[in-house]
Amino acid sequence: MSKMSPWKRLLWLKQEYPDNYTDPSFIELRIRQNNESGKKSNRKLSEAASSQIRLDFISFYQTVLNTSFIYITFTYIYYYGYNPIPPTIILSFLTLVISRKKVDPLLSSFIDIKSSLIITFAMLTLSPVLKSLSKTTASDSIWTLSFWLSVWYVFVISSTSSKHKPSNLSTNILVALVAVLSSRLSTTIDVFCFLLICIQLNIILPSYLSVTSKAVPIISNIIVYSFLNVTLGWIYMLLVFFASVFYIIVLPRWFIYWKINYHKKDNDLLSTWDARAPILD
Amino acid sequence: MPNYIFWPYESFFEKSGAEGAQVALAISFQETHFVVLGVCSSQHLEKVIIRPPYYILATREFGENDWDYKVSEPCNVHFRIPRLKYMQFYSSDPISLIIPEKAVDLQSSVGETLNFTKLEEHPRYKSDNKKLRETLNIINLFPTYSKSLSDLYPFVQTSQENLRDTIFSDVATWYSSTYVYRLSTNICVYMTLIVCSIASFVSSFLNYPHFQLVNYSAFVQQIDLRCQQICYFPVQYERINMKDTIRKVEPIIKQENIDAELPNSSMPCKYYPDYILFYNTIWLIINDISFGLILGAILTENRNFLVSTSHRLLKFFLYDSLKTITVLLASNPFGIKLNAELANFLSELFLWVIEFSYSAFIKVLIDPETLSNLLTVMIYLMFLVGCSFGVSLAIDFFAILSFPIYVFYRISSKLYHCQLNIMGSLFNLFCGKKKNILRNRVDHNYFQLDQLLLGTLLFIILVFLTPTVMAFYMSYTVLRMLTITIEISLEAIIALINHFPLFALLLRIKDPKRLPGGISIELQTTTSSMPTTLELKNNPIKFKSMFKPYSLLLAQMTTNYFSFVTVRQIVRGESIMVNRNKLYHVLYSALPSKPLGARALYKRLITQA
Repeated sequence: MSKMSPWKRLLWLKQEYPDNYTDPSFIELRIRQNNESGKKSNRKLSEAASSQIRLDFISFYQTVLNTSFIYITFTYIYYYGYNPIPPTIILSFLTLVISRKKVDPLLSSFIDIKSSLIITFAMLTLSPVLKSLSKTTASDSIWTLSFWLSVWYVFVISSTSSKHKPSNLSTNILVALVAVLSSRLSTTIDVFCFLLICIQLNIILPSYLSVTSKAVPIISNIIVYSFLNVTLGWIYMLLVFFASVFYIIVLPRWFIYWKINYHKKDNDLLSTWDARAPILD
Repeated sequence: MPNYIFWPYESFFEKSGAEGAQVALAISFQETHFVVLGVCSSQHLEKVIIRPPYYILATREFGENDWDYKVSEPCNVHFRIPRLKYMQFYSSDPISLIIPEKAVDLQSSVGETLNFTKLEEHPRYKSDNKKLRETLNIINLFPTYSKSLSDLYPFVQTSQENLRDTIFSDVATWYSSTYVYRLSTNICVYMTLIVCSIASFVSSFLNYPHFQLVNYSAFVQQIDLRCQQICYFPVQYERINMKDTIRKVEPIIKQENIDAELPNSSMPCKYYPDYILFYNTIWLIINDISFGLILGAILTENRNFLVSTSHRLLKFFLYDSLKTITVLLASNPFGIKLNAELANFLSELFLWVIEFSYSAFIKVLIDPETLSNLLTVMIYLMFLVGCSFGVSLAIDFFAILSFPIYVFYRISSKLYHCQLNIMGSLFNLFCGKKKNILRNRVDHNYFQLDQLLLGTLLFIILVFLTPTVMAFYMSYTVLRMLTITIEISLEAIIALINHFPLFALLLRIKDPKRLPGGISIELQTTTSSMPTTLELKNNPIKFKSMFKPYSLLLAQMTTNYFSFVTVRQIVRGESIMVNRNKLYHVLYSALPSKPLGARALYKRLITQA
């Protein structure tokens, strides 16, 4: 028998092997897996894995905090009726400074200016329309709609893998959520400022600021809790605070414990042997 | 295989003759069965020899009732002699009340596959009944054949159709030889030519391919139909007359040819449909006019009441109710929360159109005086050219009046359709996808931030505006469907008046043998001593096949107006437009698709003369 080309794990390839051919590497893998699962005593998650779990929990928390900024802004304008222009100007200035600092090539900054101009003018044009959009609709239905949209948004954004480039869908849901909420506002300026603030806070700034830096989470936490304190009172604020502390500190440990002791590795074979994403080349 | 022998019901075949033994003579060509034509006593045959295509089929001794057959396995089939004079005949296939060139059209119009028809007609799959068909042809021309037999052998006793020459026919023959007759025929021919050429010109003008007036107006369509009928009359009449000439100048088989083929004469059944269609059309036209006289008289009597009622009704339907609906739509109808700005805008737009159209033409048109004038014209039309013209004029008048509704429907359906389209593509953008036209599928795409923002904002705005646009669209669609239904029901009346198979129905009642829908052969006697005796019978045509164009039209109408497809079209915002001419084309089954030109007609008439 002449030399056969090595077996490849590709279904669409016509190979010189019989249909029921089993590659020796598969058996090796099975043996190794059996050995690993046999040693029950020294089951332990690696340090990297457990820190990754903690990081995931924190980043989810961060996402929820970010999303709650939409409601904070909305309450600021809708409920308290404050003038939205000063915070908008401050935030826009901040965004500009940060983006200047981060982005150096000339071309991309030009594109950014172009797209930001387009966005601004489009929002200026559409905000009167948005303002009148749901005038006849009951407020409750809008609140319900916005609640489900935000749940969907949090779900989508936390399930996408890359943090630096948010997926199209999550951006769209966010914009839809903001547009739905903004249709309750009374003046055009309110609508425009609300849109601008929310887009800057949730889309533009997170792409520049990394989650790992210390300053950003601290600032956002301070803002959220002080806002809660002002709006709902200190009892609710404390309740939320303890809940989030519980979530950040206790839950990851619990999860790691569950993963070590109770997590069944049913899908081991599937996840290691079979390709998760289709291999096309 | 048994030899089938076709016997006519005649008394002299049943009883044995007075003098001596008898011989039955039959005719048979290469591709036919035996058809018994007559009997003669055997002593005559001592002197003459019977030559093909005639055969001595059976003999009978004196005093006996049973025949002694010369052929093996005889099988008798009895039939009643069809009387050509009364246009009775046998046909293995149902007689077609649709002219042949339309028959294919009709089938393809309902989506029957032509391939299947082709396969059906392929000789390999077709039941081989050619022999039977040829025999039926002999039977249909039975009197002619028996006459030629008795001409050849005068001693043979045959059944004779008594063609009496009355005094009237004598006068007719005398008259036809005079100069006056020639002059009058010439005048008639040229008159016909002039009328037909005018009619064909009018019809071709109305069917001018770049601007088919026929599609827009029921009245024009009615004129066109009448013109086409007038154009086709001479052709039909000529065909009917050709049948008469064939019957008279039948090829008499005197020469003794052994390999005799069946004489290739045109069979009568080929021209009977023309006869039926011709008289059906004439009858329908006369009917139309008589209906017109009746209806016109009724209208004249109730003139004042009609004018005032129609004025009130039209004003209510076309102005007041439209206005009320449009105003209502702007102010949250039935508690449905519409977008106030857009609803106000649309409602004002439509109100403006209503006011404009009302002051521009509807007010003048539904003025009692105009209505009364129109009624006068309608009544005169009914008296002169028939009820259908009056009704079609009414349809056109209504169509003009409901034009604003049509406009509203078109505007709102365009808006709705555009909105749906845009929302569809923006929804793709919302999901981060994009339609790939090259591969006709939806692909993933990474959009720029500004694209996303703009697209989603527009999408949300459109989603919120959808109910408003839909409310307008739906209410105008309902109105439009209402007007369409009214028009359709009136047009159905016209279709009934124009194309009802009245003559055929009456013929069917009077003499079913004139409308054969195939044949059936039934077992008659089962006496063991005698050979099997069958009976050839005529099946009259089925009522269902007489009304086939109507059932087709009904099916087309339901698919066009009242079907799931229509509902889907309405939901998608596609406009429901129907080509009127195409729809009613089904009913034009008795007319050729193109009216005969004057030149061709001239040729036909002159060669005939």
